[in-house]
Amino acid sequence: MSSLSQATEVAPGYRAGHTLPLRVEAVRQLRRRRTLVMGLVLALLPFVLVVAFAIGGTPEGRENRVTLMTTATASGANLAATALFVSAAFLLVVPVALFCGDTVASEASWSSLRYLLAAPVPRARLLVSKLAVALVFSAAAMVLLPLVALAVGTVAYGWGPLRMPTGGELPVGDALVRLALVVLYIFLSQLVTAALAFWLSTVTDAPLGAVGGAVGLTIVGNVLDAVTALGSWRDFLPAHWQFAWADALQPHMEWGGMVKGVSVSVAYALVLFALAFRGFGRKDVVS
Amino acid sequence: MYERVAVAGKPDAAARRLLEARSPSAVADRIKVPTLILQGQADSLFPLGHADAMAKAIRANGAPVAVDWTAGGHDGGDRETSRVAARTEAWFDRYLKGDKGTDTGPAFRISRTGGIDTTNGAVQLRGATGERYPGLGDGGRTVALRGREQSFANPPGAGPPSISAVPGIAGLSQASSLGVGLSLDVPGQFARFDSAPLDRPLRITGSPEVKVRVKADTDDAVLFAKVYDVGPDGQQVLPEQLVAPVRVDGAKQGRTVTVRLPAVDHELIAGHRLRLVLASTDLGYASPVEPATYTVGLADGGLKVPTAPGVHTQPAPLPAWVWGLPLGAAVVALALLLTGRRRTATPPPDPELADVPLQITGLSKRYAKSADRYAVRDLSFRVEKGQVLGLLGPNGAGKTTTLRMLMGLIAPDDGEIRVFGQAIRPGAPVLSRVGAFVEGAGFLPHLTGSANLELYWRATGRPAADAHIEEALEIAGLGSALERAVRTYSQGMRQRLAIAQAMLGLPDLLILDEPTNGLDPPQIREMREVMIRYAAAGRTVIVSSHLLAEVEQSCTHLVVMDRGRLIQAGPVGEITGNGGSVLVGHDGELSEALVGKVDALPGVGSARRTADGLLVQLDGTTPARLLAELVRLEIPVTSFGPNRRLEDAFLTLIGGGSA
Repeated sequence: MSSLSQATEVAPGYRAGHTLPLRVEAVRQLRRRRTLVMGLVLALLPFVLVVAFAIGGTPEGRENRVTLMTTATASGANLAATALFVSAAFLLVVPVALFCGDTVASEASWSSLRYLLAAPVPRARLLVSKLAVALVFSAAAMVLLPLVALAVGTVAYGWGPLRMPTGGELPVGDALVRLALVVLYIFLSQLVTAALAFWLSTVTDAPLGAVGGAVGLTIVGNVLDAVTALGSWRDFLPAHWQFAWADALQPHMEWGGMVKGVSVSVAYALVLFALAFRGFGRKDVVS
Repeated sequence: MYERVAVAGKPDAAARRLLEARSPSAVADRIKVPTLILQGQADSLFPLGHADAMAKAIRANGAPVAVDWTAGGHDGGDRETSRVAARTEAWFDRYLKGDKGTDTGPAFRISRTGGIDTTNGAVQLRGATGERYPGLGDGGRTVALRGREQSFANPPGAGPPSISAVPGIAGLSQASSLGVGLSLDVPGQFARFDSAPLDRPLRITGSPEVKVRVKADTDDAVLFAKVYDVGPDGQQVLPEQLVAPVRVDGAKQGRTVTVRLPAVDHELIAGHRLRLVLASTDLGYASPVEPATYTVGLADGGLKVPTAPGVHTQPAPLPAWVWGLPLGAAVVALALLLTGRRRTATPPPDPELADVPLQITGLSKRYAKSADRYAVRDLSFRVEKGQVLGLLGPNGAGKTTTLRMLMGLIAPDDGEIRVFGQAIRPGAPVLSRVGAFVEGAGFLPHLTGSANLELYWRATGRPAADAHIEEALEIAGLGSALERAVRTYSQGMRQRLAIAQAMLGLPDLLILDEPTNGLDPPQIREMREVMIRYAAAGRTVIVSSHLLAEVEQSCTHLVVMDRGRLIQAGPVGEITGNGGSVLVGHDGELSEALVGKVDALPGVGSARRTADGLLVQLDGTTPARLLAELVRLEIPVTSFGPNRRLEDAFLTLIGGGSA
């Protein structure tokens, strides 16, 4: 392609690599009500926990099982850990499924997808932008919850070391590093949900279908993981490792579970992301 | 013998001789073969000190010795059966079979408790290894203890006893390494000495030692020594639930003795304290039943703690799939992406067509999952610069499918679309010169109209100055409604906003699909003028519609489609015919024969009945002559005129096409 023909080839100033910048996509998504509601729910949860503990008294473990619940009111760091503990299995799955599952499908349902594609935003570029923004939003949701819990917990229970349910304490500095590690692990282990939702999002034009499908399959994974007869096959279920982050809150850091969990999650995610890009690249857009 | 000793509480000389003869210590100086010593850490019956004694004795004979502290023991816990079996087999392979290639493992290994496996609640074990067996007193760190000299009682009948190891209660000793455990000292029956909180973690690997002064009001003092790990909240944990029994002879005068505490492998977290407790009773042991008072004080104030610095914890082994699975997935993903790419290369641009806004050649698209039903079939036409092209056809004619292919949204099964000489592919860069409004508006409902347009333009990545947003907004004519969320818009408002969006950047080719749907008559007229003005500036407009009457007023050229096929293409005048057509209103029904007669008149192209009357296509004759002929045929004419020319032509064309 010579520079002479370039003039007629594209409109002046158009460059495929500059279409749908991340900032634009972020603004498009940020002002949506579901984003705000999700943020609000996550920001309110720590307050709900504090109020619940205030009404119900000091938390006690169920049937003498040691859980993070028993130490929730020990310090701000403990409340942050507890907030993660109660929400990691389901509450944090929802924003990931929502942000990643809704992103393409909602554009299809609004019919705005075809105008973006005809702008033209190259299809792979569109997916990259949308995926990046959805993942950043998901990560923000995961950071928001413990951050608010830490602040609220510090006001309510004081700034102190993280008391572990199995005994022992972590100094505040270490505890914050461990909590950051926990959030990072939860994010990486949710990549599989993100990829599943994103793939469904490129397949269907119904945003609810993509989000619900991803959440539903996550629940199916949990159910399968409860079938102990599957034995070591469960190692390959992402749900099997969903609480591996608790290893970071033990006196002895255990990496094994988290490494395996990340491995399984990343493996599934890679294939699902590839399916999304492959399918969307050749798909007839009829929405 | 056991009964005798158990009843007496003390071994007699005969029992002692027998035990000594049966002990490995009796033959230790004759063991000269390679020896693997496996000893459980949670074992109050055969503690680690026994393994230490064996290792020292056999090593003195010059034979290779490996020591392995397993996790469980007679007190319970994980016996590591499979690992122990594997290591034993390797040892035999090496030294009995003589297989020199077999790895017999490290000279010293400890199974350390990590955390809990969060997937099943089991305790995780990790190996710690050293290149040599360090013994029980390697690498001392002295921790200062505080505490006055204390007196305490040995209760008559030796009860109630302190509790440390409870034989048979499995798992308790395992729990101690995790920070929970059952241990109890009876008030008044022990002395205790605490350290300050540790400023750094401390791992005990071996037998701690402490020097104490012991005084008793009896000849012998029997003490049970133990070291607790005390957390900041005061919770105390006895490592492996082990306790060291000590008999101090001649304590009446007071003696200073060195107490060797149980050999353990245990880590104290920074901030925890060490607590030395010397108790007069213990549940696991028989102790003097005579009441006594003991007085115990620290001799030099320090607990010597062995740390075995040469022993390092190995990371927990990870199965191979941890790395293999993501790598395999990456390969699969790559394969999916590479095989998913379109195989046909993009054809090179055609320089001869660089000034032709649109050329469609042999375009075909089948319905999804259909082999022979076509939405568009073998469609070819060409649009030149400055034209306003009307794409006409009834619903289902394939107009929208064609426009979607033109926008790169769906891929044709056959044929080619070139815009300014560039072949259309999904996301083809030349689409940046095309503005489109196809099948209704597509906006983000939560954003305002102006935000929608602004974000759409920013999504194209082109300079803001090129948008000409003011001109577009003028066409939309939404006024203050632009600042409202799009979800509050009426159908017509969305429509106008969408047309404005299509005009952003003043594209060289503007495609409008049913643009007048939902507009009121003044707006329709305005839209017509907009299109004509737009094309007059040297740009090109394609309008699709099934509302034929209005296309006729704005278009210069027409492409008529029906059932996916091209019916006719050309200038509007050419298609409607020079003579045009005449619609004849009449009273009552006309018979087939009468219509046939009109059809057969000279200079008449065709005549057929429609809902509005008789439609006559002129081909040579004049309307006046036709009227005369109609009257002659005694047709009750009520109205006569060149009404709705294009629509009639259109219907005629379609009628011909489907015949």
